[in-house]
Amino acid sequence: MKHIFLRTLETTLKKVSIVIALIIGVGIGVVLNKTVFTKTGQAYNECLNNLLMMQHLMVFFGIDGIMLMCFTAGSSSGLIASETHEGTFRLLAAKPNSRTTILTAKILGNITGLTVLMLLSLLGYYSTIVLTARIDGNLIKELIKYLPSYILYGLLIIFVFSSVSTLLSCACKKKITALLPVLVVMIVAMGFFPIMRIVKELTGSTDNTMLNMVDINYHLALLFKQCTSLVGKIQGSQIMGYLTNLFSQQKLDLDIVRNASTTAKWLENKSLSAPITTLVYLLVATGCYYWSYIIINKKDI
Amino acid sequence: MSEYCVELEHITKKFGNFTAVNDLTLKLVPGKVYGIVGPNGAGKSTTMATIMGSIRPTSGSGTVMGYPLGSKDALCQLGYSPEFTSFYLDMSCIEYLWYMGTLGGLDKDQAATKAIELIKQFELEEHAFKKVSKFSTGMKKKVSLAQAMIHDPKILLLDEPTANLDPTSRMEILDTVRKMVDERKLTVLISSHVLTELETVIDHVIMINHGRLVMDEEIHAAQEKFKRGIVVVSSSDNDLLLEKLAGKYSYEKEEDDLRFNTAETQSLKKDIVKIVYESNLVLNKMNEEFLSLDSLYKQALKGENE
Repeated sequence: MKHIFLRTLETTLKKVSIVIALIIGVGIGVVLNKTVFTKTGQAYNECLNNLLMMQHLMVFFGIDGIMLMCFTAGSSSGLIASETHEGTFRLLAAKPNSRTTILTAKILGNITGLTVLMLLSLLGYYSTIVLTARIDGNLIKELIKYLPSYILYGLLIIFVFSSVSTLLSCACKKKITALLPVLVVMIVAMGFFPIMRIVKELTGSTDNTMLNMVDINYHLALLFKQCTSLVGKIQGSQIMGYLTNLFSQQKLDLDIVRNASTTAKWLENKSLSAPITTLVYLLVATGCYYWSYIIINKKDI
Repeated sequence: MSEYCVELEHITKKFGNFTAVNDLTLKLVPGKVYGIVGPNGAGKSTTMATIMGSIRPTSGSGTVMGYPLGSKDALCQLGYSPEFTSFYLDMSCIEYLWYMGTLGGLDKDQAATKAIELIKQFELEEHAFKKVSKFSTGMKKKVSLAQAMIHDPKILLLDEPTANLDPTSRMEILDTVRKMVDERKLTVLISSHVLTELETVIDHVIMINHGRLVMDEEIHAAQEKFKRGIVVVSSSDNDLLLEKLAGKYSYEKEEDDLRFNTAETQSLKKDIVKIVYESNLVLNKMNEEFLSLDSLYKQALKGENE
């Protein structure tokens, strides 16, 4: 089992993947530097809130978002399907190792490799911030405080996405067949839903009830919120509302508002519960892994 | 403890509506070399995969050295070389064999020692550090055979070990198999379409057609059972000999020889000796050729199809 674990870890941690993870981490750090730190004369709290908001979004969409989802889908979908297609799985299964052992070793090797890539990317990001950002040390400390939350969220993303990809990998004969559905989900979660939300807001449609139930972007944001709540609360804002649906616009009564520019307020969207959503995703992921074991043990190779 | 190392009892395997193996019962005795033959799609590879546990039978059961098919203990006893060789593209020959050795339950030092030993046995020293994906077909087959043997199994399953090889490579593979079998006292099950080569290696023939067992015999017993032997005769007056035999046996003329094809070889030989003695002929040659595996195969399948 150890050798299959190490082999899978080696396959997941390709040099190209490591370089990409570092580049993305550093790149996000550079972007954050350029977009937020150029403003001067801001109050401490306002600066901190802006920094945190941008950091949360960059990590949610970037490091723990598209990057991690792509790596997870790419490596997990090939765990079994690639070897089945190439014929090497038959030889693997011909050695005195149970299929359960083989799959367990592959899953653990894959998750470990993906965790390392996530940590490298976060390391690249924080190194860039610490070394190049010209801001107060206390602000940097506030930013670093969220690192454990980001790691926890990243682990959740790895667990959930790799469970689905692994299941598809066990069921399909080719990697591409297993990869495509997960990529579609990622595009829908990280692209389609935020765009749909913005369009709905702009067209004045306010009923989002049904959409919330299938809004994967919102679900993932709830998981993110569940992890970051261990450190602090995410501040409501328009951009957060549009991109994550964690906040929805609440129009205030004009009679009691003096300034017309404050007719709207972004309040927490309580349509779904973050703990329950997290639990549901964990259960579904566990179910996917369980089903993978059933398929692999019954499958003819 | 059973006297058989592999036992399959009423194994049936269906893929949808297609029955690949139909009520197959097979028992392999330790220390023998079995040849499994049959036309394409007969169920040879499916039978091997069932023994390996790669394919779960639709019905029936089996054991390997007393352990259930597909169990870890059963797999410890088996070495498998598939028809189509597959390797990890990024591994060199020695890395690949080492990895297969560790998967076979050897520790890293044992695996390294065995890998080096097998590389020497298969004469792959010059290519030990080259990527297996770049090897020729013959070399890949050798590596495939080596990985099957690396964990010292008691039973080898070789699916078309000489397929797509040139004659020299085929002979090398078969010579290596023979040597390994003699040295290690293995039980081997080989499937092949090249029957002329197979019969030089095997003790026992298993014929499968349409998923059913057609024949399961010692090769000499099989040849005896079908009885049609070839007797090659040459005398000082072949025409007189034929005249005296009065068309009792079918024959073909081949230059100075007469090739009689008959089930009653003993009767033929007696008649020839009698005629030679009575007619004062000189008998230059009288040899009996056993039925080749190829002929046996054709006859058995012909009987099955009829």
